[in-house]
Amino acid sequence: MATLRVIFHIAANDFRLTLKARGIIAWIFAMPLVFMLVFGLAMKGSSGTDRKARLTVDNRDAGFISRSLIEELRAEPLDVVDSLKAGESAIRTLVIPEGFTEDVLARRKVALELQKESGADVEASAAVNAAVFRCLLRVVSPLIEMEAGMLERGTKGFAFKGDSLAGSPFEASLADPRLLGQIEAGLDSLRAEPSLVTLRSTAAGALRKVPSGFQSSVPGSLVMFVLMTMVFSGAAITVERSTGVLRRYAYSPAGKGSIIVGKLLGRMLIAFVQIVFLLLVGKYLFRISLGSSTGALVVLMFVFAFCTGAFGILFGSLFRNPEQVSAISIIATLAMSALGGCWWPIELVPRAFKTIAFVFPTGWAMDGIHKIISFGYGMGAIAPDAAVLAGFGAAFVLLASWRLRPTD
Amino acid sequence: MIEVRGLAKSFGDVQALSGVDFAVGEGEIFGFLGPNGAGKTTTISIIAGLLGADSGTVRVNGMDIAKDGTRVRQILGVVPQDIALYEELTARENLHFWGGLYGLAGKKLRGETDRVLEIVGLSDRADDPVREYSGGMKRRLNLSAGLIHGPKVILLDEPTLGIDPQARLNILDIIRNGVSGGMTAVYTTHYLEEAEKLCSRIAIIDHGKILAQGTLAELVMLAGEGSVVTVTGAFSSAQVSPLLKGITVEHFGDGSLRMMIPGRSELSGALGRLFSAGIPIEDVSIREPSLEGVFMKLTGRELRD
Ligand SMILES: Nc1ncnc2c1ncn2[C@@H]1O[C@H](COP(=O)(O)OP(=O)(O)OP(=O)(O)O)[C@@H](O)[C@H]1O
Ligand SMILES: [Mg+2]
Repeated sequence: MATLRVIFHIAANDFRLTLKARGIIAWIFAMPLVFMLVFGLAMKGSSGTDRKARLTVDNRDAGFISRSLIEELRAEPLDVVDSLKAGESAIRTLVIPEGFTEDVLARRKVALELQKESGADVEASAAVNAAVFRCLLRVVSPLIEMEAGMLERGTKGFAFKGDSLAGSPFEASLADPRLLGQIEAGLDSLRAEPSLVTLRSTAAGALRKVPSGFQSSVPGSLVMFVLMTMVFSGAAITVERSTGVLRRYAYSPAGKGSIIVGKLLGRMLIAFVQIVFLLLVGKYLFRISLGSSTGALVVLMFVFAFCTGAFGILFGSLFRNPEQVSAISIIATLAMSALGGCWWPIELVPRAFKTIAFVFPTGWAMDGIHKIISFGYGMGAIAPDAAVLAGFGAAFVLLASWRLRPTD
Repeated sequence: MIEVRGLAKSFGDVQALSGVDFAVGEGEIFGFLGPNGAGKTTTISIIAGLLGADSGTVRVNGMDIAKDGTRVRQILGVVPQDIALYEELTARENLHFWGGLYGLAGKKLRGETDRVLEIVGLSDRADDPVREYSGGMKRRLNLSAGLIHGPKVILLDEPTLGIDPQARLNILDIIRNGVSGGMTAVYTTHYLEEAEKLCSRIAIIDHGKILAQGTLAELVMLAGEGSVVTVTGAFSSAQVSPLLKGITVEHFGDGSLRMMIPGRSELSGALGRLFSAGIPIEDVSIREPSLEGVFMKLTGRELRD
């Protein structure tokens, strides 16, 4: 209890001291807005196109079931094309074999081929797969429903024989040619109804498209300026160290653990204030989407605050000279922001840079935020990002507590 | 109250302390006198548990600092040599913060803050940021931050460093009055006068070793130091030399004479003989025995900043 009180005491003091620092209010609240605006406007034109995942459909069937399937596919947020123009690439190619409609109605085994294109984005591919399955389900389930109806009505050429089913809608249609037309009409009307079964794949959500404009500049500026604030407030530790203030902590009964946790907590509180402010500005001023999973966003922002707060403390513990720190802090923040993908969408940089981004916590933070706010994913999808950020944070804390000795 | 035995500490090649022993009784102000780099701060840091000693033990109120650090720190106050304060906060805010680290809160914390502000005479400036304080005021606040939790033992590391004589006297008074409440103190300094004025016992430390320790009188005796008497006048050495048998003469020339006289009776005897012989004396100055001389005797150097 006493320890906890001392931790909060230290946290409250560092929170207050950070806000008292000269010019910090501008850096926390005003500068990020300028960046959001300028970068948002700059990126609007360049990559503002809505890049839907492209699906090539090679339809060799002439029947109505393949037609229904393609109609369903077109209703999905996919770019469905018959063939590729020169220079275009697709995520997947769906091959519908000849006689598909007849085979389905005859209840013969039929294979749809979904060819994976080389080099396609994993998440985009998953999204296309999910869309194809969703469409199949929406076509097949009305057919099953109609078969059941035909069985009930005792349609000719199609009946139960003991435990097994004899015949098929196709055989029945041979006896009654009007039946095919009825099935086609039935299928169309059933498809129009809201379906009873919906397939939600884990990779559901909007398709991977390059976030642009404010959707890109808001999270980028957020990550960069929270990091900036934390590095800046971490530099205060260098000052405390050089003035001997840190040593005075060590004269007190408060242990080193309490001191570090307290200082971390104080910084995280600052980060929370900044994050909440910037997200609200993003939502209400720049009108960006914050995704549908508030829980995931809270978790991600919490580990992000932990990670950057810990980085700030580590940063402050590495140096002794306050002047040295202020110069290095700017460079470090800018480098980590640029390479981590805060300035432009990571989708637009060469592959090597994408890998480099994930060397830095900023890369993981950007990845996680975009999963939530731009692609509509939830907790499951950001778990790796959150775990890596937490891991970075823990490593930073350990290093900092090793670096910070009371006698320094 | 404080017991230091066989303390040794080296930083790489530098032997900062070797075999430091001393003990401080309850309510005593113990002086730790030594020039720059003597090992004063190192000793304080080890007593406070910030540094581990290479060998030796430190007990405060019977508790071993190496084993019972947290409990020792609860009753220990430290006034560091450097002014360690938050410049952007006010004196009151600083004291609230430092007091809070000792678990003080609420009414008690506010009460103690007012108490120490009163002691160091900063009550009327308590709500100004420390940044705007003079050097002497900062020193006083630095001192009060070590007193905020009402420690039983206080370690003062050159608390008057770098301030003018007036402000120094002020701080000495504060310590004398503050410590009269039964606090035990270790007072490090390289100002002889301070140790002389303030401390009941004094240790002289140089190059990490205690050269001598005891009361002022004991130290003076130890060094065989007496009063230094300087006499000037229109006399020649031939006139006075027969009158000075048995007296240590340090310097002898026409018109000027400096001698070392061990006690009061020898002093009046010598001066009486000069006057009754009609030697034309213009000026006599007597410097009382001091640590200065002791230090010179022990180290062969003068003690100066
Ligand atoms: N952290 C350290 N690393 C290396 N050497 C040190 C360290 N601290 C002290 N020393 C050395 O130990 C010796 C004693 O230093 P200390 O600070 O105890 O002296 P001091 O008596 O307090 O001097 P001052 O009057 O200048 O404050 C010096 O030679 C100093 O250079
Ligand atoms: Mg010192």
